[in-house]
Amino acid sequence: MTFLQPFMLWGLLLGLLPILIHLFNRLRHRKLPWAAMMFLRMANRKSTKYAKIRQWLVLLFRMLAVLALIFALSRPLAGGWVKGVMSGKPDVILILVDRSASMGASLGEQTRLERAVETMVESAKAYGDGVRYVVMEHTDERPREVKGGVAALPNVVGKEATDTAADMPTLLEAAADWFVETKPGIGEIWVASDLQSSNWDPAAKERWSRLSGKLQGLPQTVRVRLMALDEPMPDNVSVRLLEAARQRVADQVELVLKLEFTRASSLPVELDLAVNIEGEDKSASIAMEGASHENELRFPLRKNDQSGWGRVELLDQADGNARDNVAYFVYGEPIQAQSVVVGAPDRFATRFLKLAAAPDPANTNQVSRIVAPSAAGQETWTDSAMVLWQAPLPSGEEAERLTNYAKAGGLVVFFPEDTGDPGSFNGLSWGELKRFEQDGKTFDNWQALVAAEDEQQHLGFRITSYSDREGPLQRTEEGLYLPVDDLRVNQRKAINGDGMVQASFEDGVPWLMTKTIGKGQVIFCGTQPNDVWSSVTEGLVLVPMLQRLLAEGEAMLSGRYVQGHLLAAGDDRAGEGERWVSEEGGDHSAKDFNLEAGVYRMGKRVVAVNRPQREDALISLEEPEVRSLFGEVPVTLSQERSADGVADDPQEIWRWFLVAMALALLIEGLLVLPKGADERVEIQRTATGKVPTQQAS
Amino acid sequence: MVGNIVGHHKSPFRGSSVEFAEYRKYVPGDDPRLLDWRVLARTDRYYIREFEADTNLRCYVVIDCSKSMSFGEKGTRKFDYARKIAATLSYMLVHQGDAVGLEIFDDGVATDIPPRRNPLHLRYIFDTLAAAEPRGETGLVNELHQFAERIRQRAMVIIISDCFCDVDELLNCFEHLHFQKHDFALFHLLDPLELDLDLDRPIRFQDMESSDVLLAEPEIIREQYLEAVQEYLVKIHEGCNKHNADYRRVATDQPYDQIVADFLVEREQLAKGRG
Repeated sequence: MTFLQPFMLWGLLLGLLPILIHLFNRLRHRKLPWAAMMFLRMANRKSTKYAKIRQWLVLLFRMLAVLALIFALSRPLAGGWVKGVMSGKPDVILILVDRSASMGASLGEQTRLERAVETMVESAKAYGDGVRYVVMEHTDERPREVKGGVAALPNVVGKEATDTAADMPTLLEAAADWFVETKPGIGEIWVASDLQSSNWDPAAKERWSRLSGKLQGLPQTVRVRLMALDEPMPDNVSVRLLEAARQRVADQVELVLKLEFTRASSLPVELDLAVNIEGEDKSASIAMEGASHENELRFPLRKNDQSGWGRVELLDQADGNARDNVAYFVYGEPIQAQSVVVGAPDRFATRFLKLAAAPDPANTNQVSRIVAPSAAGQETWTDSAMVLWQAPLPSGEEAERLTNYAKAGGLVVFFPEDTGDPGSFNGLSWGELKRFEQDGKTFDNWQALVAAEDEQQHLGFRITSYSDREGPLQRTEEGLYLPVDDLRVNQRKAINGDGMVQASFEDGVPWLMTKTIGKGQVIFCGTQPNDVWSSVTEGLVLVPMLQRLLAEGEAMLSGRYVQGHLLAAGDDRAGEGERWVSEEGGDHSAKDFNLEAGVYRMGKRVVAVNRPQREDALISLEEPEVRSLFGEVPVTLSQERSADGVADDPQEIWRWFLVAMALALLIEGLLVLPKGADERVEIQRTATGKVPTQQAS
Repeated sequence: MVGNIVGHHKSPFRGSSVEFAEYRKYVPGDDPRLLDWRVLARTDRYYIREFEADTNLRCYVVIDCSKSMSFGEKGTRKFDYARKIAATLSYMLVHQGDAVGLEIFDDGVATDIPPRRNPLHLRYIFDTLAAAEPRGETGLVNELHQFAERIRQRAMVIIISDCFCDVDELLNCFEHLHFQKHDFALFHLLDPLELDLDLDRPIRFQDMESSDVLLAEPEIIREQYLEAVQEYLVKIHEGCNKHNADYRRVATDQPYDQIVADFLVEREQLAKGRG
């Protein structure tokens, strides 16, 4: 017998309570001199025959009642003959639904998703309404209780497939966690999926092994029932947008769309396309050859069309899946990477950083500006690719705003101040300020260090360790090293915190430390761009480092905020508080940014959301492959209902223990029930002491 | 009542009182003075006219002074209660000219005061009662047998005891007293607690007359206890009825004056009934 709440079994010790109370009562007896001992002896002799047996029975039934209650609270599971007397129903069925785009594939008059719901309802009818049903979809992994029995099941499952890709291991992990957290009793997990390989990720062996271990580790047996909807669908062609660009050719402006078409068959086929650009319908036709085909379409734009959006739709009535026939795009001017330097505008370090962030005045895609620390409180940072902070560490609301910016994908680089700074930012803080000394002598600047050097000598704090494979100090594309170890550091500030050290001095003190916060990064650099501090002012290290960071910040930010970028539904989800509204209008105005492909706007930003690329790979897993993913966890197909199925699973029997407890209490009550008035012995007494003969007894 | 002086009680013998009893034929040896001359003159037959003889009462108050009589958990001690009954009865009997004796038994005879009827004797009885204290085991059965043998003249015997001894042996004593033609009454004193065992929690019962100890839970053994007490009481009551004894079951929380008054009234009615 196993238990869902085994720790409750410690409560079995409480079963000794009735005996302990009994013994305690006997111990706290009082002494009483007694005259009528002859009757007591007689009564005691008689009581051994029945009353003592009754007393022990009372104790026994009290113990049984307590033990039964503890067992019931421990939620025991029983199999074999014990279970034979009970029904074979599971207590709960957790239905996992794959609503990825491929589940919208047509199977005759139904989609795969509709077929899945129908199969689920049919299967659930076999159990009736005595089972608890919970639905969890891959889109949010949130358990939804089905209230109203089997009939209500279709209302809880989403009606249509989404444009997202399912992450089945994550969904199953959420299911296992749900079983661990809620301990719902004997359960089954029903998985409705088309077994699309990219969704099931069979290559993640370790993850699957962990998952099957977790399912097997549950105290109750949880069976997996697979509703594989992998029946072949009619010939399907999918369209994917690879790139949408606004290009100027001579005095013409064109929209260039690079599209990819995929299908299972490699036979040549003619595809008709409907293209809508800023509400204007256009058409195109292409000849597709092979299973995968890339094509570039060009459409003229008006010169004043700086930006816009549109969609490409594949016109094929017999297509296997209507959800992969549309691709959305947005286009616009190239993005501008803006850096903000926070620091006193008249300081050298501040001006140096501004220049390092945008060193080429001819490159209008890179701009930088200085914000005085006093004005930093008004900044929202949202349009900045990078923030360079040459000021005391921020605190309060200012720090919170900067943290939110970093979490959303921003980059913040902090440089030390000449004075002490007790603050901290997301776990990173400045340590001791130290100036290089040689024989008790200090130097005014790094140039003085160089002047004092002998041949082959390197004065100052030397950076001996840095990451040249990745990060801001990595080698160039040509394999050249940045001259980090040539830096002369006359003054430094230690960095404290739990970030990743990118470069450190001989004595192990970090010079450059990064810490990932949300989608962005916080970087602490141990020297100020100032001659007194170090030779970073030479620009050979700091400028390329900042340019790399800027490129990274630009890339990170463009994923969310910058107009023109393509996003994948479900993978790039709306951030907290973000409200994206569909640009399409009409029936499409109520689209969900996280689930459906489309063009969405938030403020001035417009983004195109498409299906994740992996959702177009239509390779399905075979059933044996899926079974092997679950390891020892029993997996049955929806069509299978073998005799060794549920009937052999252990069942929860806590209700029987409650019944046993009630019975024990009932018997105990009957045993201690006082005799009725007519059965009780009552000794006759009269006021005169005279006992009538007929009432002698 | 058999007495040796003239008193308030009817004697079983014919005497010289004014109460006419019966005529009987003269037989040689009768006192000729008792011949009814008027009957002889009218009928020429010899008849003797007999009168009831009034006599005094010889009463023995027997008190059980074993240690069990000192029990008094709910009411007063049984022995104190016995003392009150004994003193009251002694007072009343002496003041109506009857002789009262006092026998106090524990495991032997503690006090043996022969019947007297003067007030000084009453004082002596009171002092003896006041000085007595329960002790030792019950020797009631043996002492009653010896007592029945010891008093030759028929007498009224009032036994005040809790009778915690073997019932059959006790009934033998009653038979013995009855055989000796003693008129006896039994005041069976019991503490209310002994009659209902109204106790909770386990109790270590310590026998008052020995070192025996019994740990028991009253709630568990109450039924059996009451059954045993009931059986015992019925047996004593039936034994008393059989030997014409006046049986009084007295719980010590009852007012003793009512018990004594009722006893006396009933005796009075009984005496009149006989007359």
